Amino acid sequence: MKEPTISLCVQGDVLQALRWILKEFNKNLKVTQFHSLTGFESALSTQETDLLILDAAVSEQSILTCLQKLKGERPGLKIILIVSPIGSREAVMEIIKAKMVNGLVVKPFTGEVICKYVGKELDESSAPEPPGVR
Amino acid sequence: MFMWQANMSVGVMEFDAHHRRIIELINKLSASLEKDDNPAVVREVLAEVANYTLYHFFEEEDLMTKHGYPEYPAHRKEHLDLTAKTFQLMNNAYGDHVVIGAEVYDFLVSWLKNHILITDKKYTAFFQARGLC
Repeated sequence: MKEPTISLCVQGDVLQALRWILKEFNKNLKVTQFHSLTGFESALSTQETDLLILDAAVSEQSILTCLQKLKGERPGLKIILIVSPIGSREAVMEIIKAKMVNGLVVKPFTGEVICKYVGKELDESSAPEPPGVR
Repeated sequence: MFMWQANMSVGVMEFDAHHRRIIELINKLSASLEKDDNPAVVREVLAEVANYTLYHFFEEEDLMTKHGYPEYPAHRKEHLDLTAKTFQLMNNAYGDHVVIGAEVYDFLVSWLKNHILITDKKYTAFFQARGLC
């Protein structure tokens, strides 16, 4: 069975936390990290991804513009967007209204909500067995 | 303390579980406010409430669109209004001298109670008819 692939395009302060959360969630996940959205976009043509976890802080343009571009190139791309609790409220609301993302997470976040979104977006088959079930 | 009660059941087990969790987190926020926790700690709990609530909204809306729930536009509008208000609360909570007060807890409790008991309850029969309850 194909391992689910998650692409991370996040700032350094959340990268380690996310890697740890995803490893705890499912050790079989293939996690690829990108330091910029440009790097991720370049890789899109050759690399498959089941889910992108994107930190709005890595975006060089407005996050709304970036998402429009990404969804234009890959309409089916599943995206969980991480945003700061302060700042561009209007842009975040536009993104939610336009249903451009499959999930939204505000910093600081816990593993609980990341695992909920990841579990929802990845195929049921890739989810780990619940503890104690054989 | 705000408690989940049987009359709050919306029929969909998954959403009842979400509501229970949101209530737990709102109570965690209340406890944090009562203990007079450091503002950074209160902000973390507020973000936890916001994140779980947003996740619940995404899930609920997905099920509604998947099954063509006719009240979806009005329901979604309530979700969007709360989302905007939550972002406003969080913005306020990050000001230099802003103290998060009990009114945030009161607002969340009152919103959630009304939303579950009035708006969410409307979908019970619809999802029941589709074997989802």
